[in-house]
Amino acid sequence: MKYLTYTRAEFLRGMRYRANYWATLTSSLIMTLIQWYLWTAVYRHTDSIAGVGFSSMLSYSLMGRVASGFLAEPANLRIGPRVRQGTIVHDLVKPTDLHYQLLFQSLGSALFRLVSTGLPLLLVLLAAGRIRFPGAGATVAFVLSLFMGYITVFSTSFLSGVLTFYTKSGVGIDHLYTLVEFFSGMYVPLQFFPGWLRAVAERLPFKAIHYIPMAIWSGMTGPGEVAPAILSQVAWTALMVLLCRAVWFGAVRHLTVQGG
Amino acid sequence: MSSTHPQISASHVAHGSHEAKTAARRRDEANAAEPEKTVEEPIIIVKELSREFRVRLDGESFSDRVRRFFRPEYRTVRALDSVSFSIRPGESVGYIGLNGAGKSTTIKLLCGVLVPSSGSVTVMGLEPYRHRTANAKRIGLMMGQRTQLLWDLPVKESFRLLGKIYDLSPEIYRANLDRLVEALDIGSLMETPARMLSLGQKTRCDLALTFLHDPAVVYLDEPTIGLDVLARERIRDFIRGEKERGVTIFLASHDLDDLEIVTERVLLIHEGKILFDGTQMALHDVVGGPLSTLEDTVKQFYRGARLG
Repeated sequence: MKYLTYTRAEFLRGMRYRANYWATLTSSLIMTLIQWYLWTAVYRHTDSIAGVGFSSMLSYSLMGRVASGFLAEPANLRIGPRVRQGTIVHDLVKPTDLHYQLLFQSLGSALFRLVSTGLPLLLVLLAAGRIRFPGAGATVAFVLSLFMGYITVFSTSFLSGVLTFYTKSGVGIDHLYTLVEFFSGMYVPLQFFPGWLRAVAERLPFKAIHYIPMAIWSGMTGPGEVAPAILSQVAWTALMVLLCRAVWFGAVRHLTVQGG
Repeated sequence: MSSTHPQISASHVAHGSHEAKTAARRRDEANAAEPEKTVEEPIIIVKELSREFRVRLDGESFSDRVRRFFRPEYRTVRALDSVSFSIRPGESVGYIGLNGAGKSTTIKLLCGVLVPSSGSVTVMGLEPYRHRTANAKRIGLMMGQRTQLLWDLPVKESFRLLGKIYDLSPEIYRANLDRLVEALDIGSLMETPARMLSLGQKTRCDLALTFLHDPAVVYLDEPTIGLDVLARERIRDFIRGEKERGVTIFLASHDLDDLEIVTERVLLIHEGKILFDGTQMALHDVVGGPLSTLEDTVKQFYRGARLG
């Protein structure tokens, strides 16, 4: 599989910048502590919010921090400079597909962040007894779900990056990304949304990025609901990939017909 | 200027489609006169190729610009105007023109990164823009201004990556790498991250990457840009060596010195039109003096054309 070479190269690239790594690790630990104290404070006078108990919420939130590096891939930043500086010509004269290339390249840096930042954090949280494995079945489902979450977050970012082909500028779209994070359930789980907003969130693909895997991990998704949740995630992920294919072919057409 | 350009008597001038055909016929006659030379099918055929771009107008006054922000207006620019030429396998061709003459546009059309507005391009029997990926396996492209090295990683990783992308067997990869490392003297650079290389070192590595997969045709877009005399010399020798191995070389440059690299044939492009297609010697004859700077040559060319 030739595309895995991109994954390898990008993983290696992550290791080149040690200062960057330590800074990421430190900020990640601080963010985790903030989440911990925040939810402890929120649950001080109550056992349950919108049907979500304290331990479930803490599990959702802390595992979210562990996976945050894996589920935050700015693939759009890999496309914008290519279009503006014209190096996209190099990509188009290679016997590869830039969409797949970036998918595997981004996977390399996402895996690097998961292993280098997420894993130590997970070990600390396990040692501190703040994270518990939910059982073999849920763990397997979670890992599967996490990978699909990666594909969805990549696709979202890729789509916004491909807009650069038309706008010639990389900024603008970025500002909408906070909305994607919000609807993904990164800040609070979807149960906390008012009814109408939850209805919106349920109809968007972004819940497949964060909410579905974290809800499986934290037990918010009951044992009988895991399979349907995974299936709906498969559907959303497939839809996003197909959308990327269509938009990508359109963008290449635009680029070759209109000119860079 | 070029539309009123009068006919000139030199045999190799290709101007517009009719003249291009005449020039091609004359070349064929020249080939026929040398029976020992086998006439092969051209590897690249370009026929009456034109490419237009739509440029958004900016406007003179502030209010003009505000109006055009809401209702953009466009102007059509003809970057390439009915260009025709063909290149035989193993031939090396210098594609010479001033900045903005249409050199890069031609290369992009040959690589299939641009679709022609009219006319056709055929490279090894395929239309590049219809079969971009199939075409990509058999060609190499080097752009002197845009590196394809992995910026943060040691140079060897860029080679490794391309080896995998082009699906080279370990034996072929090893053999080609050894040959290129030797020819371009880049063995000592393999462990260095690309961002720490000098321009000359980067150019040598980029060249080696371009030839790694044994391409049949290589397009070089200003490969010696910004290099010193010694570095140029080295690159020139290398490209000559690759040419002797039978690689077809298409070298675009605004620098007449680069002609020494390719020696044989020159295509002179100006404002999207091919002004001249022939040997360097013939170009000398038409200009009637030393080929100093390209701008002078183009001017002299017009002057000569008027006299003729």
